[in-house]
Order: sequence, then structure tokens, then C-alpha cells
Amino acid sequence: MKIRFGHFFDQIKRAYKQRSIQLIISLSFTAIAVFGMVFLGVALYSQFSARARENTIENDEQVLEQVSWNLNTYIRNMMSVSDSFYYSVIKKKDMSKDSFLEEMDLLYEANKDNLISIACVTEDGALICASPVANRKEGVDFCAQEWFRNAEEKIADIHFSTPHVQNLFENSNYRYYWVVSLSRSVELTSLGNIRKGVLLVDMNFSSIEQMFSKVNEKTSGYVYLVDRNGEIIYHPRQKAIYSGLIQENNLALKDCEDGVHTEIFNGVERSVIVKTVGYTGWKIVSVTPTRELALSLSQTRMFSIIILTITIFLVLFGNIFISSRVTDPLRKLDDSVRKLEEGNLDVDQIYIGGSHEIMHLGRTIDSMVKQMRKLMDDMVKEQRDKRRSELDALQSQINPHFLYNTLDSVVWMIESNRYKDAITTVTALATLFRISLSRGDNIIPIRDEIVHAQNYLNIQKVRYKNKFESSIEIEEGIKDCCTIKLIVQPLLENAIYYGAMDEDSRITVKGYEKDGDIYIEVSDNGMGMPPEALENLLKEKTRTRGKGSGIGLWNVNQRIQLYFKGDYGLSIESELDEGTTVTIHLPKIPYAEYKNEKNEKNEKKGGGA
Amino acid sequence: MKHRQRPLLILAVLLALALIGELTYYTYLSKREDPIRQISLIVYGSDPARWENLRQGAELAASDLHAEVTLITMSTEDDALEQISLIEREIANGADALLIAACDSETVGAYMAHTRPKIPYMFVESGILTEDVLAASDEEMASSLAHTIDENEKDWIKVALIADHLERESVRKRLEVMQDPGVKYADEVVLWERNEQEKNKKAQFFLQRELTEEAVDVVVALDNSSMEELLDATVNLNKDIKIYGIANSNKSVYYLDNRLIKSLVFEDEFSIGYLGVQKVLDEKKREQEETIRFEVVGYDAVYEAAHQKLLFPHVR
Repeated sequence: MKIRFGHFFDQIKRAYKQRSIQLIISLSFTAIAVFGMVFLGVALYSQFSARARENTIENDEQVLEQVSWNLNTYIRNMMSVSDSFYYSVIKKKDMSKDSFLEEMDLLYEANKDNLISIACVTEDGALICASPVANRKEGVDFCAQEWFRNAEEKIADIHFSTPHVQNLFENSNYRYYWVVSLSRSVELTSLGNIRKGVLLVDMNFSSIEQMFSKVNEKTSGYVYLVDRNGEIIYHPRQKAIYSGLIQENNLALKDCEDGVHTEIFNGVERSVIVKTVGYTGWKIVSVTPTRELALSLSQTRMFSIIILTITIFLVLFGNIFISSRVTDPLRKLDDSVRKLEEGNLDVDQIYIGGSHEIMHLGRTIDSMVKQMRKLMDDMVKEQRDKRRSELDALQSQINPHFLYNTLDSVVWMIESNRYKDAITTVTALATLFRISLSRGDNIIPIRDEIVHAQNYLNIQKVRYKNKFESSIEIEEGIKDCCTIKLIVQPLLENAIYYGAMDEDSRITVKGYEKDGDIYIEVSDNGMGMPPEALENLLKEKTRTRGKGSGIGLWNVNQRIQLYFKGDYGLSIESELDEGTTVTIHLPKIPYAEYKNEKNEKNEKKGGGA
Repeated sequence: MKHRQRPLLILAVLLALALIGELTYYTYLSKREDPIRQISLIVYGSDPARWENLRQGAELAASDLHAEVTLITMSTEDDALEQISLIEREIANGADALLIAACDSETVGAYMAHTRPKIPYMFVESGILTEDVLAASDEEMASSLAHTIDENEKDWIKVALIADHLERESVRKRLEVMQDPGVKYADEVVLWERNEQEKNKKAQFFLQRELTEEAVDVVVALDNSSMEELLDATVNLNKDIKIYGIANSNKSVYYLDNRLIKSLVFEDEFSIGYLGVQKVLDEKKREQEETIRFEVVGYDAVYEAAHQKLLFPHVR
């Protein structure tokens, strides 16, 4: 898996490297911009969300403060009911003579929205009076009830019970009241004697419930109320907790101090704010799951994501546009250079545009291309001139050799007193040179070349005392076609040297047309050549330096190929003890046509000049 | 089209789609609130107060799940046809889910099997033969009741079982346990069952006659309806009778508190309501097995902290 991932990463890197400069600029700039924006966005969002959370907690604290104040007011009201009755009625009246009922009814009527009942009982559990007036429930022992025991245990204090169902009086319509009992020990005066008793104010639990229900509509989480032992007094899901359907971490609050805490309960992280209500020791607890604090920011988060996405796209487009503006001239320049790379030096113009650096680059390349083109043209011209001069040199090589050989023969004939033969030879030589000159033309009609060849043969026959026979058979149709001058003569020279040194030697020259081309064969019946010698015969390195001109077939072959190119040139067939045939392959070009073209060119040159 | 322009076009389309999607979400979906789902809680009997615990549980769960609960009682105690018409009416009115306390297991069961409502529904407290019901185990409650009688009373007592409302599967099951010879709690067990003619009259009168005519030590009511009818029959009869039963209406609790009922098996209907709503609204919860608890409460233990929380609903 690791290897596969590494391979994949390498592929991406390779692909990235092969991308265009525009893509690299676009992606790199976009990646940097996105990274920056995301970093900034996350930082700002974190800051904002932290602040928003603080605000939510502050808001919850304020709500908690408000409910604490309301609850305190409510409890103080209830305590003031108790105090009023105790200090204004019980303390001042003798219960054996006076009734408490009127004052109790008044107090009840004044507070009946928050009260279920007020009752006063003696220390042995006898009911002195109660408001509203009700029948004491049969079989109920007040002394056994929690509110009574609490009052008895700590007589100096006012005690608050946890919510419970009131169990004092007969109820009608099967109705029961959930109450929080406020009880205190009181000193009753009866016949001048002080007796102990308990004053009970049963606060309506619904008042507390309503108070908290309203609060719970305002906060992001929920608010509940516990007593000093952590027992639940009010909880929005109180009955579900009682039924064991859900749990609450209320008992952990027993020793919890006021303030903001974070707890993890049932796997959920929660922000808990605790506020203790004065005197009672009750604690108001606000619970907000941390997840819900974040939920309140979902709109902001979504808005941020939208803005971020739009900005990323805009940046991407901006980068593509800018990089396109920057790289388009480069790309066009690259296209021009690519054409050059492909060998197309005829590019009209190298692209010059864009920023001044790219323009400078374009101009430089353009100048270089022009220089290169000029250099190449010069080189081609130089090469052509070189070839031509080489050709001329090759051609010029013939004359001294031939002249040397012929003159050598003439010298020999004069020495042998064969003056007539010498005259004939010199005459033939004169004719030969006339043809050689050809007014400087390298191209002559085959007819002239054959005359030249015949003269040469004549000269050689004289020299070699007619040791060999020769015949020339040229088709009439090709006699007026073009040939390079002096190409048959070297072949005859070779045929004479290598093939006509024995008696019955025969040299044949045949000229004919085949497949639209001209072929001139020079054959001898000499000793022939081995195949390995044939292979290298037309190669420069094998130029023979033995008998004869020493220029050999390579010279002729080079001249034909320099002029006519293509497949034209010499081919040699030889068989040991049988003879050798060298064939000249030439294109069929009528000499008149050649002359006309040449004249036209000359006229153009003259006109141009 | 030039190849170079294709990525730009794709990006433009992506941008447009992303913007449309995000703006749609932002302007519409994110602000749209799911509609409040309506749950009809169709119960038998005509007294809504008797179902206070069930309703409170259902409403608490509904408030957590963005739903509302409507308690629908009948005009009579157990008219199956009326209950079926209520079911039909609630479905027609667009209820999103139903919680049904079946008054007649067979008839309502046959109707539900025939119509197969498209909306989720669940039987609570009293179900039908073919489907699960969310309630405490009837057999265990009856068994606990028999055990309580056995513990509280002497061995030689004569017990009368009120065999009424047997069209409810729950009552039938409880009666079967109480009549099981293997379950010993009395020397003699008699069945008080109305005949066809008596069924047209108030059960209270039938029970008064039985109480007067037949001397029994203990009378057992196996459901709320029978218990309330028994209480109505007993209150003014001035006859020393010990009443046991399975019930959880406020009237039953009142008479338990007033010692007319000696012991009650009390089903936690708050949990039934709470879990019932969760199950009809949440498919995952529907599959979960739930055990509904019950308590045996004697008249002397009504005000024990644990029992208070179970017996007395918070009435505002």
C-alpha cells in the first residue's frame, strides 16, 4: 500500500513537472492562495467560534443569573410568608384563645398563585390550622413526614424539601399536588406556655416548573435545579429520569462550585454552568452540549465555506487569466522554436510579443535564426561550389593523364619511326581535345563522345600495335542525347589496360536505350575481376594507382552522380577469364533540349546582369 | 473547440454548480425547518386523565423529535368500531404515526391486518394478537399480583376475578395466569363474568350485585376499566372487601391512597408513551427490545419516594 501510494505520488509529481508553465503557475499560485485563505479562514473562524461560544456561555450565565434572581425572589416571598405568619401571628397570639385562621387565609389568598397550602401543627403532629381549609387525611402521621422531621432536627433554620406529593389533606377529584415544603420550627403560645410546633408552607411545584420551563425556551441547552445534595428538584425531563429512561449527572454537582465547568457525561462533552441560590443551597445548573454550541455556528460556518469556495474559484480563474497573459507569448515563442526544432527554417517570423523580456528573447531568437539561415545558405553554396570545383578538378585530372599517355605513345611511335602513325595519332589527339574543350561544356552529345572514344581507341590501337580489336555500336536514337564528356574514354582505358593485353582481345562499346534511360556498355574479354575486387571498385579508397590513368572508374562514377544524381552512374559485371563489362547509366535528355534550357538560363543571367 | 479551453469550461461549470448548490442550501435548505410530525395517540375509554402518564411520556419524546402528540379518547369504553373509525380519521387527516391502545384486540387486529396503514404505528398498553405491543409483561404483572395476594392474605381466602373486557388481549393473558392452577394465592377462585344480557348494563351494577350476593374476601380487577367499575361499585356499598388489581389510572391511585385498594400492580405508562413515540418516529429504535417496568404498590407505600415518582404525574 505504501509502495503503491509512493508510486502514485511519483506519477503526480511527474505529471506536474510535464505540465505547461501556465498550468504550473495557475496551480501553484492557486494552491498558495487557497492555503493562505484556508489558514486565515480557519484562524478567523476559530477565533470567531471561540468568541461565539464565550458569548453563548455568557448569555447562559445571564439567563442563569436572571432565573436565580427570580427563584430567589420566589423563595424569599415564600420565606416572608412563613416569617410573616410566624412573627406577626404565631408569636403574638395564644393559640388557646385566638385563632390563626384569618391571618393564614389572608396570607394564602395573597400568595395562592405560588402556594398550595399553609399549615401549622403542634410538636405532636396535631393540626392547629390550615389554609385553604381542608380535612386532614385520615391515617396520616405528620410527625413521620420529612418536612416535620427536618424542622424538628434543626429548629433555627427554614427547611426546603425536595419535590414530593402533598400528603396532608383529603383531595377531591383524585387530584394530587407536587409541592416543595418550606418548614420551620415555631414556638407556639398556649395558655401562656411555649410549645413547639411546625409551620409548613407548601410551595406549588408548578410555579418552579413554569419558571424553569420559560428559561429553557431561551437557552441553547437546558437548565435544571438540584438541592444541596444534588437531588433533582426540577428537570425538564424529570419524569424520564425518574423512569430511568435517561440519566443526568446531578449527583456529581453535590460538591460542585459555582462557575463554568466542562464535563463528559455518557460520552458527551458538555458545558455546565452552576449557580447556587442563596439560603436554600439549591443549585441552578445550565447544561449545554459542546456540540450544540458548535451547531449554533453552523450558519456562520456555512457562510464562510461559501465565501471561501467562491473566492477559491475566483482566485483560480484570476490565476488562469493572469498566467495565460504571462505565458501566452512564451507559448507562441515556444511554438515558433518547435517549428525550428522540426527543421523548418523557413519560419516566416519568430513570435515577438508579450513583456519586454519575452520580446527581447523573441528578437534574439529571430536574429539567431536569420543568422543561422544565412550561415546554412552560405554553407550550401560553399558546398555546391566545392563540389563543382571538385568536379572540375576531377575532369581536369583526365586531361594531363590522357595527354601524358598519348604523348607517351606518340613519342614511342616517333622513336619507332612510325611517323604516319604518329601523325594519325596526333590528329586524333587534336580531334580529341577539340571535343574535350567543347567550348567549356561538360555536357556534350553522345555522338561527340563516341567520336572522342573512337579517336581514343585509334590512338591506343596505334600504341598497342593493333593488339586488340574494337567495335562501337550506338543506337542512332541516342546519339543526340546528352552525356558527360569524357566518360567512355576512361572505361576504354581500363578495358585496354586490364582486358586487351593478349592476342584476340576485343573491346566493344554498345549504346542503347532501355526503359527510357541510356546505357553505354564498354566490354572486354580480358581476364576479368574477382567479385571482391568488384565490390570496392567504385569506392574512392580503392582507386588504383597501377597502370593507366589511375583515376579509374570511381572518377567517372562520381562525375555522373554529381551531375545527374539518383540511380545514375556506373555498374560493373565481371567474370574471371571471361571479361568485364562496365555499363554507364544515363538519363535520356535530348541535347537540343539541354542546349535550349542552357541558353534560356544564360539569357536570364544576361538580362539580370 | 480548442482543447485548451476545455478545462476552463469544466471549471466554469463546476463553479456554477457549486454556487447554485451552496446558494440553494444557504438560502433555502439551511433555513427550512422540518415540518412538525403529528402523532395520534388513540386510546380506549373516555377519560383522558386516566392516560396522563402515557401522554406525558409521549409528549416528552415528541418534543425531542420535533413532533406533536394528540391524545384521542373514545366516547365509550371499548367500542372497536369507534376506535377503527378514529384510526381511519386520523390517517385521513394526515397523521404521521399512530400509537394505539387497542380496545378490542381481535377486531382492531383484523382491521389493521386488512388495511395495513402506510404510516408507522405501534400498539401500546393493549395490543393485538399478531403484533408486538409496548407494555409491561402481562404474565409477569399477573404473577406478581398473585404473589402479593398470597403474601398479604391468608391461605383460605376466596378470591373473585373480574372477567370483563376480555376482548383485550392483555386482560386475557392476565386472567389466564390468575386462573392457572399452578399459581397458588387463594383457597378458592371464582370468576365474575357478565353474560350477554348484563353486558348491556353498567358493569358497576353487576359488580354490586356480585359483591352483595357472593361472599368473597378479595376481588381482583385486571385492568383499569374493571378497577374503576369495581371502585364505583364498592365506594358506597359499605362492605369490607379487599381489592387488588392491575391498574394505573389516577382514580385507582386515589383509592389506593385512600386504602380502598390494598395493592396495585402499576405499569410505567410514562415509559410506554416515551418509548412508543421514539419507536414510531425512529426506525432504529423500533428494532430495539424494551422492557417496561411495573411496580407492586401497597396502600402504605404510596408516598415512598420511588412510588410517588411513578404514580403521580406532574399536573400543571
